[in-house]
Amino acid sequence: MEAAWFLYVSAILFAIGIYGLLTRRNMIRMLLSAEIIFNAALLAFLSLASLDAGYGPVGGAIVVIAISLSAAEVGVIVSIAIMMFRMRRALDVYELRKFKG
Amino acid sequence: MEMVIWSLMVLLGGVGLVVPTLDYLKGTKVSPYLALLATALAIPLVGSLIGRSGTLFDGTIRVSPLATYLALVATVGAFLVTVASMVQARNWSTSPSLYSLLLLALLGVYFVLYVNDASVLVAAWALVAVASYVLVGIRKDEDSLEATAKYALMGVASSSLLIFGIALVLGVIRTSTFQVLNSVPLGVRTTLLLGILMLVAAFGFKLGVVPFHGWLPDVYGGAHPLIVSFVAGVIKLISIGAFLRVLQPLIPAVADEWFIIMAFLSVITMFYGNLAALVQRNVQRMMAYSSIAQAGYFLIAFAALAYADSRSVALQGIGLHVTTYVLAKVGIFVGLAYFARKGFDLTLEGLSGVGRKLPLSGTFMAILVLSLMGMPPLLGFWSKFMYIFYSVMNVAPWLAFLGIVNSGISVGYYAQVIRYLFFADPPEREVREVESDLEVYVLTVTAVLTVLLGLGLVDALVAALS
Amino acid sequence: MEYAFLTWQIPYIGAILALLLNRAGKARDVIAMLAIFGAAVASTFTLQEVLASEEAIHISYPWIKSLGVTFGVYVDSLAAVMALIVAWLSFLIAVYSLKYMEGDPGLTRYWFFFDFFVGSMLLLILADNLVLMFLGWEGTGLASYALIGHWYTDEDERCVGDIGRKALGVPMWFPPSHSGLRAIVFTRLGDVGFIAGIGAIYYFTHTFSIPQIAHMVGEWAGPLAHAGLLFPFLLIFSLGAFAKSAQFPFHEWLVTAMTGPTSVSALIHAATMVKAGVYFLLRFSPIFVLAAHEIPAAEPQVHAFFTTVALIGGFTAFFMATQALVSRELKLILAFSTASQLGYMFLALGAAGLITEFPMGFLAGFSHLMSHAIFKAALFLVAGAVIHVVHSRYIDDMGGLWRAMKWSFLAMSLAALSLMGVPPFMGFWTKDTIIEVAKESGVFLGYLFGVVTAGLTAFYSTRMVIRTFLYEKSENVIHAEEHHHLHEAHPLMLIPYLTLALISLLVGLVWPVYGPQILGVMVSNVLGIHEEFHPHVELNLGLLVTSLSMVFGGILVAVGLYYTAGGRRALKSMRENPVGRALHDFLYDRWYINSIYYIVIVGGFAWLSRVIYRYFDSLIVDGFYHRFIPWLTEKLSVLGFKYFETEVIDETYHDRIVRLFRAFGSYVRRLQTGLINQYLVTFFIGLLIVLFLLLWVG
Repeated sequence: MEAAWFLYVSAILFAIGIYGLLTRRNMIRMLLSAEIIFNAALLAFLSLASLDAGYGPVGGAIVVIAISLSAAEVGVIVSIAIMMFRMRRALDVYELRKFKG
Repeated sequence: MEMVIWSLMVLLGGVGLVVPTLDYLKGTKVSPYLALLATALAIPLVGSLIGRSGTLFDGTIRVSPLATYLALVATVGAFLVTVASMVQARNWSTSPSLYSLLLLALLGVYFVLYVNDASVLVAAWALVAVASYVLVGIRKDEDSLEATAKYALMGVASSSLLIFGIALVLGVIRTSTFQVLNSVPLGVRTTLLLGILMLVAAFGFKLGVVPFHGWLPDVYGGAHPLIVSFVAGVIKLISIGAFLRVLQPLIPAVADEWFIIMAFLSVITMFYGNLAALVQRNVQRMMAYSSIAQAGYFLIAFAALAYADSRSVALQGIGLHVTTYVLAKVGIFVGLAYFARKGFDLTLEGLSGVGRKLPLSGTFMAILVLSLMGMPPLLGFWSKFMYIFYSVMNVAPWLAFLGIVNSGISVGYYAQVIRYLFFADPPEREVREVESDLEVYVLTVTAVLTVLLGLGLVDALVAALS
Repeated sequence: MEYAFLTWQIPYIGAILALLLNRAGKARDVIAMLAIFGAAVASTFTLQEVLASEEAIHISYPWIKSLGVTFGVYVDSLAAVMALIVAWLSFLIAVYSLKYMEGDPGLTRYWFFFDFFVGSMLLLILADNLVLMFLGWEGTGLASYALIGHWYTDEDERCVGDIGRKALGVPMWFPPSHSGLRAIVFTRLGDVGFIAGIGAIYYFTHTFSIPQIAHMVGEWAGPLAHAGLLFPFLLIFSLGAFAKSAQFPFHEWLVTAMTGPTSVSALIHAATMVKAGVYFLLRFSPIFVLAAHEIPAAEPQVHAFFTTVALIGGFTAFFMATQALVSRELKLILAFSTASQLGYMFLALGAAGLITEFPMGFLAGFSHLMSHAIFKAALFLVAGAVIHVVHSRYIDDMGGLWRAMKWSFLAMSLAALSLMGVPPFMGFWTKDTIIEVAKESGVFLGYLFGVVTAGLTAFYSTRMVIRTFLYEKSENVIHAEEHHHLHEAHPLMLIPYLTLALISLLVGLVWPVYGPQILGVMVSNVLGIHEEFHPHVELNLGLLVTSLSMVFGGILVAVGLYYTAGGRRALKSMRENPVGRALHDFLYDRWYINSIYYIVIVGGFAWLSRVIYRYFDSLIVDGFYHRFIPWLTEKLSVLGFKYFETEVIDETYHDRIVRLFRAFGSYVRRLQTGLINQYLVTFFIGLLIVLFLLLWVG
């Protein structure tokens, strides 16, 4: 039943991440929240993969690929944040509301 | 067939990786030509797979006629965007990266369309997603900053859901290969549904399904129209491909629930997209909302996949409507980019009389808009009314009816575009179409294909699909 | 020979030629006109062919095999006669346009859409399957949109309605581009029903072929009838016809369609567009009747359908005629009159389904379509010539023109007499049959509307002729006379309408003798009418007295009002009397229906989005940002996380969101706030909603 505990932890992380993502307005903080969600997902993945003989090794491989996905996304968002900071001297996403309606 | 896939990888991946290095280091300007060559060569390469099927690379890739068809449409779309970019992106400082990203994203699109294994799905999805965030922001101005920030931040959330969804689904099917699942034990049914729902959210995010659509109007409506033509016309195919490849095998196990989710989402998506488009004054943004509405039509066909007797028509409908959609969106956004380059503002008033100053592109633009509207005998009429709506006639006539009502609503704004293009006074300045305007050729190809396919080649397409 | 194909293809070819000959000037116009002539000749041969053979001509080639859509023509006597009328009328209007449109800057566009319009109309008449018919149907819609908005620069004199006039706060004048949009939106509304009906029929029969649908009537009407859905189905299927033929409540577009060039109005009103709806009913009502015969369960529902058609038709006839009474614009009078006459045709077809001898009602509607097409084309063409001469669309600026435009006066009088239904004009015979059929059908209200409308028609037609050609000259006319602007129309314009007016008289004269023969040809082999029918022309004395007394009553009242001192006094006092004034405004503002549409639909839309916004605002913004988050944060901080969250309960932060939301303009658009966080809220709440939906149904 160990896997179930990991799933609970994953769910808690997921909730924390969503809370952060919805309430933060600093781009980097939003990114961190999103990363928490992502790691929750990875944790869920690994715990489900190790549940019993199923897709264990493949699951591990997929998680490694997924980590590279997240790394790439972090890279892009950080560079977007840098671009924004250069242009606006701020990282408040509320500033980004020219497009609406 | 493995050879073909290898060649595509070498061709697109190789050129895509080399292009920026070469141009940035040596200061040459070969990237547009190399990219054009690569996409042009990719068309026959993908074409050689038509009608073939089989699994490759130890079962991680599966070739099927429908997937090849979608891949071909994507390639043609990418080729047309590349053609248009030769003029549009000529003076962009970042243009080598643009071409590199176009090619790499296209490669990722192929892998999603042919995916047969969860590991390939994650890798290919990551490639396309990251490439598209960068593409949207490639202009490095305020508008693209806003668009790409919204796109990327929401994208991260959706890719987390993708991982969650895959984890749950694989936990139920206990293999990483996607295969048809006819029934599941009752105990894990909820887990499977939850997984499917998360995948729907992740894929629906890219497709622009309400309520996962928030980024779409701002990206399609705010980014440079040339980039939008690629993001809307080519990259969007990955979500349709993923729906078909990843979710479709799971449907038989949860057919009724699947139908309910899809029907619900399609109704709100269609209505939201069409109603919001009605009040837009900016044509680019209007077309963004029209994309949301079109996503709703696709969802109708996805709903029809739930049952065996409507499945084949629905699959044909998806294939055909993808053609309509890609031709129209690539053409329209390239056309908007062209008008913008000619100094027109992309609001309705700003486009007043464009059809009179630029008769060729105006007319072709009108044809594409009419095709989206579903005017017979253009391709959009057949794909939307005769296949997509018809596919659910057996299972849920009310859904087909709501679809028809929605395409009735959509006339309101599509007609506005045509009205301003032609029935308004053009500005007093000298604007002409000249032979070096490559965008006009793109518009010509898309519009002529829309007309020809509508006039009787629909049959040939359907044959290619099945 | 496949003349039937040529009939609709030649105009399309003409349209393409007009585009190609963009710079050829006069040659382009003549070629485009000749294309219509070619179609007219081909249609004549088609009719000959149909008459020679016992059976309908049905030629079809496979087109979209996977759907079973064919590319073909189905010509029975209905289609052949209809095509003949449309093609020849369009030809005369094309000849007229040669002169009338001379010097217009948008001639290529004009001729392209003109030929395209005629081609689409002929295609919809001759098509052998619903998809092809729908293609033509949509083609006419598109072309009318372009032609109504032809003068898209929206100068005041091109508008319809009085500039600046408002009813219930809604503007009552419409520039061309707006009118075009109204036309396409109103008719597309009906097309939604048409295409839904096509889908339903295909679902049951797996064919689009019209003869097949008639043949397999039991297979689609049966299940629908047993489910009790046949009546709504028939209504939805015919919705397109109601909208196209401008029947209440879809009539508004036709009125404002007057912004197009007058030749276009003539085309829309006489030959194409609005006749498409009547043709639709002519084509399908025999099939509906067949359904009632074959399936007992269907009979009450089909009856209900035909009763509805008759009532709507009758009401439209009356309703539009009342508005014509007070209209000040020459073309607008004619537009009201068209919608009113179309109402007669719908009344006839509705009544036809209720009487034992269906073909009699069918012929009443069909022959009235024919006679209306002829006299209405003549009236519009005269109106165009008159407006051209006096440079005003208001009848107040006309009067006393008869001396300068004798032939035009003659043409208009003849056509107007036909419209009024004065014997022995053609309009008399056809309208009389309709009233007779309506009486026989037992729909008393329809009959009543028919009779009363006959009187109203006589009144407004007489008033129109008097105010245009007779009566005292207006200042405008006197002014034009001084400058020698008054002149008879150019022969190219004059000959078409004079011909039409004379035809209207001559056919009426010979009707008692040749009428049965003509009617016999029209009904000789119509799809779905199986029983032998021998038409005859006879007059029902009681009815004749009723309708003629209405007609002459109407004429006398009009003449009396304008030509006797008492009448003028009455007119004057009516204008000054508040009740008369209110009545006048009520009619003049088209029973306020247009205003109601704008208020209800446009206002309703705003109301709806306001409501959505309010809930959105109170639930998401208020509930989530103002209540839930602070509450959560407070709880969390109580738990000792305070140092973790320092800035959440931040007044400015909340104020700003609220201000932001309030500041946005359009209500629907508030859903798209531009805030990433809100998009994410929508994302996850949407996900939750779908999840709950699943758990709820699962």
